[in-house]
Amino acid sequence: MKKAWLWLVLITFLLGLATACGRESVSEYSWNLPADFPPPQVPEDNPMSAEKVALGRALFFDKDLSANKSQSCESCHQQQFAFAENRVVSVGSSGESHRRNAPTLTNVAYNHTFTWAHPELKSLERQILLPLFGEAPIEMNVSGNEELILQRFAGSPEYVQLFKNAFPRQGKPINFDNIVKALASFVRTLISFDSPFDAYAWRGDDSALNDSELRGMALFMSEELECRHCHGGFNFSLSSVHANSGLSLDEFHNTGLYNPAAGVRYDEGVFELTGEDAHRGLFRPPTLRNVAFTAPYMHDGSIATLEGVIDFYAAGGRQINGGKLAGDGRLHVNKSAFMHGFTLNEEEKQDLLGFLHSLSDDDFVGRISQ
Amino acid sequence: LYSRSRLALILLSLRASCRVIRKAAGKLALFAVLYSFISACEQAPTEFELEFRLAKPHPQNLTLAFFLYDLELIDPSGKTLAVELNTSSKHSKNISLLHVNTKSASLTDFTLRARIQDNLRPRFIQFKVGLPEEVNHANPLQAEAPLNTSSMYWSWQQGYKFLRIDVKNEQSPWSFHLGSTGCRSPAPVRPPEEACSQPNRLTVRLPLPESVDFSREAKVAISLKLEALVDLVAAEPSAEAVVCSGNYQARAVCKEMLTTVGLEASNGRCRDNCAAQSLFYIP
Repeated sequence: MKKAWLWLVLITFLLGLATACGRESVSEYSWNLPADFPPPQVPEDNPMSAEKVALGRALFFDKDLSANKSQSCESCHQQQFAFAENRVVSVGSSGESHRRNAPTLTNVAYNHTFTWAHPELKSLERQILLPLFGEAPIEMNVSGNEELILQRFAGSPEYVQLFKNAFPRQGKPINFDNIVKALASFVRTLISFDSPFDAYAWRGDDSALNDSELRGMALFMSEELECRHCHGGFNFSLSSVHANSGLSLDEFHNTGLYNPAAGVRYDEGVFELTGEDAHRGLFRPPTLRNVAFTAPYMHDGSIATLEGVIDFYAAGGRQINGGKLAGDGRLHVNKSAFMHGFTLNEEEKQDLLGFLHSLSDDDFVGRISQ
Repeated sequence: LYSRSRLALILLSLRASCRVIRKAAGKLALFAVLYSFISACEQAPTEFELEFRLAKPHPQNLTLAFFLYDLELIDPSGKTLAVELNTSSKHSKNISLLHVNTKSASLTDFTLRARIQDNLRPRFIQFKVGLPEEVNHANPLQAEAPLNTSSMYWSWQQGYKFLRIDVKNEQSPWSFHLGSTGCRSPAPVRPPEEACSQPNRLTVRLPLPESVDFSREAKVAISLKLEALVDLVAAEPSAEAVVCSGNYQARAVCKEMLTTVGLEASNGRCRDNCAAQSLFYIP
């Protein structure tokens, strides 16, 4: 009987040891979120750790991660623009233009799906493979240059230590699987919940918003403007989830941007992946947090200013009069029923703009690299 | 005959197990464990399944979701028996989020399982569509399942969409989002101190078919008939898309949508105890 007890204790101990060995993380990660805010979802095979975040931060800002050393992740996701870019569309390390605008990484850890229009792309780890390894267009140009890039990090004592700290149980931690995991861990920390709106809404500070911004908030949340039907919730995007989230019902929308003649090829969003006519022109609503920093707007950067964006929604879509894309987007068969347009006087427009500016987290655009 | 004999054998063995357990309970050390077994043998709650179905014809490219709470069974004398929902990511003990998308392969989220403790022969099944007032305006950041679904959320001031129907077809896309209106607070991100003037909660009471036997595991199938709503959209003379979401009195079609679900648009309360609702029925 005594022996049986001893075996039981031994097996329990070994099981505990095995479970501990299976874990990659070396320290508990503290999200440091404001009170009540739920943490983001984190995949089981890439738990957060301060050490992985430190490695990811170094990699994110390092041009050695692109084959020709001309670009880092930050080249297109610049902190001063809330980790977006002030160009219409991004340009890769080889000079090739992307067809889409670099989206903000604000609260990207809370995205339910990634990129502008990809219903099945639901993990940051998979998304990061696109700018690293993508060949159409070329961005970081890692594909075919893996060894060249890994050797740069293997030859750097600082990186050797950072990789060792982040993945201490691995004999050869300098590889792209770990690079992706570390980058994902770092960008998950790009969390922004410290705008004047947050002070008013969640911390109960009545003085955080002025009367104009409050009027703008009422307009934003109104049924006349319908903004919240796509840009609702804690993250101002219904395509957001957190550790305690339920299902997501309605994530992609056609806002009436384009409606060219039949047969004209252009970026049709979700349709390009699913092939279903009902998905033509559907894109994910991005978060509006820090939106004042992220001009130009829309998936293709085709609207230069926030004022222009408000005019576009007020018109219920866009008519293009000349060129290849000529056509009336307002009449697109897939246009969201909420895109019916509205009328604002100049004061109301300024109120709405003021509210959108109140979603700016000034600390966020200057604090990460410090 | 074979299946009946097998059932009888199973029942006999179960009874025998209970007897064996009772006899074995002599030993004091095992008493607590065995007592719980005995309790389980004698007072196991009855489970039943509540399945919602979309009656045909229904629109294609349809997303429909609603919150259900205060599920009750009512016997012929009017006695109500509260029913506890089996908790999951979609259901708490009293609140459930049911949803269906005609494009998805599975309709499993359109059913829920519930438990009752007593044997009774209920005549009606009753539930409310909506959320209790105190839940509707609680801090959204702390929302637990099933309230943690942002697509069912309006604002702290207005609370949640109790029912949402979105049809995205090429001919006539339309949306009907039902929730409380007339909610007063200093801003959309402040909860109201008083109840909203138009609650827009719907009480559904449906007669149960004789065939449903709650003393055994039962299944209740409730259909949702969207025909009347579709007809309203089809009859709408305006070219503007039908979007009824909070502004129900602004358009005739939205007022009529509320009537269809048994509500009075002017005050957001049930007409005739919501008996006139024609959305839910048991075939």
